[in-house]
Amino acid sequence: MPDFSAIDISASALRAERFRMELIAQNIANVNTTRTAEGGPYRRKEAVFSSMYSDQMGFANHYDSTRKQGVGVTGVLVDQSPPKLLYNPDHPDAQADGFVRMPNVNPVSEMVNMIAASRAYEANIAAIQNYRKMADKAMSIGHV
Amino acid sequence: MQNAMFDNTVGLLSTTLDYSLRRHKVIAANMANVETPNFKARDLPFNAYMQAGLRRVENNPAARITFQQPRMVYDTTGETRLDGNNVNAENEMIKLMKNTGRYSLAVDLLKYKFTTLREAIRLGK
Repeated sequence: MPDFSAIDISASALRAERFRMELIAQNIANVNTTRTAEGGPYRRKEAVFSSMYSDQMGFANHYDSTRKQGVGVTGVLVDQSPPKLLYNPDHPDAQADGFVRMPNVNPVSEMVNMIAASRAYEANIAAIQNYRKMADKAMSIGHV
Repeated sequence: MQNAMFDNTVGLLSTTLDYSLRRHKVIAANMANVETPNFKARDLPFNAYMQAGLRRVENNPAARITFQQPRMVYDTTGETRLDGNNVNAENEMIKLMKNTGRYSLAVDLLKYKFTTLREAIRLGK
């Protein structure tokens, strides 16, 4: 009988990809935000993924189901690249020279990341579905 | 003559089931880390797991099958990307499908074995 711990591996990835998707949505939502609590324009944020294995080959004893497995979000990086400058003297946040400091969000790359996150999410759903198939099949051994 | 009821079939097939479940975890972990920087894909090769045990059975069908603990290896078939990750999503998908297929096949064979046994028992009634 499967112990269902394989689903936890895929579930960790679903959580991670969903979080990444939320950050992408936040980036796109703030593409024109010039004021933030930290001051200055909004800065692009990105999730940092790390695999949940303390050592590389220590993975060999991963059958121990008490160990956490899969992937986790270990932090959120703030993109430190300089803000985009847009000439718009009428803007309330325009500098003395007429330029407005706009967020360093590039909608195109956010879209690309969104597709990647969405596909990765689907791939892990497929892994869960395969696992369910195996578990269903295992149940059927009893029906001889 | 070999004992049809207590031969190696059930043991071998359940080892295959066990192997497939373990490999599923390895593949699921690869897919979970498809976007993790510097993650290296791993695999649990069937050969390394089964061969030694199978060879013993071939030489002596009555032998008790013992399998060594499976060894994880790095799967280097995928190209390493700029972020140091070499997980290939398509590869993993195909491995996943084959693995699930193998599991289903082993379950079907196991059921067939039990059906055969039941038929044999019924003959005596």
